[in-house]
Amino acid sequence: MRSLRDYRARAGAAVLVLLATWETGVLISARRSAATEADWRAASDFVHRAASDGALIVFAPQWIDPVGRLWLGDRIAVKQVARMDDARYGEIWEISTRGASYAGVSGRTPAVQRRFGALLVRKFLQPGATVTWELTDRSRIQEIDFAPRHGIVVELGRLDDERRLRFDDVQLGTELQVFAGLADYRTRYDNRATALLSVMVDGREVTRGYAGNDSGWVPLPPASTVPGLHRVELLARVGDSHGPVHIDLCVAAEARSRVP
Amino acid sequence: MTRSPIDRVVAAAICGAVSVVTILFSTRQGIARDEAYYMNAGERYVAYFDDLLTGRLKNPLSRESIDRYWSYNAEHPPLFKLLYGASWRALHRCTCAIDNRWHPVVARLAAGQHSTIGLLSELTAFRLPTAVTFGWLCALAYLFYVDALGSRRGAIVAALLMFAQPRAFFHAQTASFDLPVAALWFATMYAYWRALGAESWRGAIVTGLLFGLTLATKLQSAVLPLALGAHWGWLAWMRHRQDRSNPDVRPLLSMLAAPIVLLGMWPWLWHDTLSRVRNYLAFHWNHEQYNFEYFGRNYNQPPFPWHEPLGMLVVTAPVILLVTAAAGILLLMRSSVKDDDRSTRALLLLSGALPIAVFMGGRLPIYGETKHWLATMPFLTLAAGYAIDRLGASLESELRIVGSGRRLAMSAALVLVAFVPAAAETLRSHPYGLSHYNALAGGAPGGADLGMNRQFWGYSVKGLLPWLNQRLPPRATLYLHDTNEDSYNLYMRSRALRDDIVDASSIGEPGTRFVSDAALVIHEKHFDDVDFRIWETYGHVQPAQVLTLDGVPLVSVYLRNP
Repeated sequence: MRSLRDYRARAGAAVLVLLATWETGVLISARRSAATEADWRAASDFVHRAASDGALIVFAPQWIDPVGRLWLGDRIAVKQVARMDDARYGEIWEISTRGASYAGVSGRTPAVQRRFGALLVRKFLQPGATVTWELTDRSRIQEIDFAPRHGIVVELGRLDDERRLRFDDVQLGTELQVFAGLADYRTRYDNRATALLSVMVDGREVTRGYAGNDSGWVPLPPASTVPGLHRVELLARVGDSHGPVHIDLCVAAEARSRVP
Repeated sequence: MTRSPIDRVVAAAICGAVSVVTILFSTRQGIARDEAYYMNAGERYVAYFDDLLTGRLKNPLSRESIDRYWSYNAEHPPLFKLLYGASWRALHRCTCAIDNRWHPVVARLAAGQHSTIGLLSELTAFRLPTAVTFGWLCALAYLFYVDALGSRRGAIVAALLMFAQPRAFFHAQTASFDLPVAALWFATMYAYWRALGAESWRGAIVTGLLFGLTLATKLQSAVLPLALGAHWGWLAWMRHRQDRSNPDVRPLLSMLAAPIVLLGMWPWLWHDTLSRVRNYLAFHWNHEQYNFEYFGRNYNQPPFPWHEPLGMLVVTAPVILLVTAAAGILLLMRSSVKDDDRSTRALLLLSGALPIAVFMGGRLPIYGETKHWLATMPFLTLAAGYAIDRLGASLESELRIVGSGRRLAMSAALVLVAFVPAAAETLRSHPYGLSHYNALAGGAPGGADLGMNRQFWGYSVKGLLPWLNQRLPPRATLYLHDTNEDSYNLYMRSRALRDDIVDASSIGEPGTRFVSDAALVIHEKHFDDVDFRIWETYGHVQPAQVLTLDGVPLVSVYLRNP
């Protein structure tokens, strides 16, 4: 009677053939599953027709972003790409492929969903916040965790450095949202310190947060505020240090009124 | 089985076929930053000999003369730069006087033409030596297998799998040192192995000479004696246990003379020798760190993950090669495999593991990812060949295949099954080999999902040159991003880029570089901020064109006024 050992070589050859077939198949599939120009054109036409002016347009996975902007970049402002967060946008259009999803809409139910070949277009609605004030003076696009963020950079080079930004007569709404992150990967590589950012309204601290090399774009806990004109101060300090202090702290802020 | 004259014919055919295919494919591949430097250097170095032979150089051995030609790119030894220059000098179709401004100053031709065979374009002529070296490496893999492991079936698999590797194939098309040093590493190991068996000075001298050429190619070759020395020590110990005499020490001794080859080939070291050698070593000891994306994280300083070389191997080499090589290593390690008088298995292990192992310490820069340990790859292909050969032998026995015709057909089928997926990977990767990831990763899109390095060296812009030529306005200034000036000059010389397009980087760094009509962004994680600067300068975020590989963006072009 034959044992399994008698079939060992045939099994090995079968495994080899299966492996070769699988490897070749994956390569063909990778090529075929990529979104084509026709897919992009159809998706772009659809979004151009259906999206409201100022709607947020996002892409997933993130690495398709340049191709997405090739087709829809005329509908995306510089400021939108480098936005602080999505709160002000009531309408979000997500163009995705490979089953990816933009983190900001993950788990939500789309209002509209259409497939164009390898691309999935989804529209999401949310109550957009009304922005009563934003930090725009001297702000420019910074690289935070390799993503674009519009903000002001505050430099801290020594352990005892402290920088204060003061804004008078700020029209606050019901909420003040501040984000912070360490800008410029070259500086982050040299830096071994963490930044501490405190936010004060009329001299009283309303929120604070830490930003380190690996923390990315950090939302500080939103502060509830009384609508009206107020003085807002941002105080940046070194919170913690294990070596050289090379901090380019990028800060963005928005005062908002939420629709109830 | 012992080697017969037919094996030399097969090896020559492999060498010829691989060289021809590689050089033909190379015409589609863009110019990599480093090879542009080496082409420039090669042209300068060969101009030294040109001027020497034509009497234009009055005191060729003077420091002034040598420095004039040889000071450029003195951080790398000269062998392959010289070969690139010589190949270019002999074979290119000459328009050098017309293209005068794009040549290095010391090599400019004021009028007339170089006397050449005129067989190849300038770029192809520069790249030919690496392509031929690649053919030589595949042939050596075949010959070594036949000599050491005794089967043509396994030998052919080893040679073909050496050829069909996306990253090796990419580097084989460039005028750079990584593939050549891998070939010379393998050749030196092979010569050492033969010399151990021959026990004559001739084999030892060949070993020393080859090691000298390896040293004259790239610095990392300096660690090869560690592998061969360790093997010799192992062999001596084994023989001591068997009350036998020590192995022949002459191959190792001859390697001590290898620096003479390096010194003899490198006029730069003929003056102020100690200081220049010190500078050469110091350049690499203090080498700047480059950026490298690995599983979503951008690294540019130590400590690097110890597993980075292995991780890159697993997601870039053809899966069929990885699996069969792993099987082959296991089979070779089995105690039932009788080792030979030269401990060949230990030699393969040491010489094959060392190139990749030195990058697993987490301290050496990982700037070049797989290219720095290409010397490991021929050893993996030998193991893969062994696995396929053993499988073939088992099939013959299990299926009772008799008759040379049937055996040949079965062997051919096995070789094809091993070769086709690897060839498919390689073909798919071309001409963007550094952006390709294997089936295990899911191809280029899978690599992007995993957050693996997209590319480096700025070579992929070539895919956009036709578009730029067609779309840019007359006398447009173009920001070329990571494409260096030497590459721009070579694109101009090869008529790949319109000659009225001005390199905006030459206008001045850094603030004015975006004073341009168009700008390129070569997509790598650490270059993201270039995109941001362009958006701010141009006032929009919409590229006019994006070059992709299976949907993965490689290069974007922005127009100031879309």
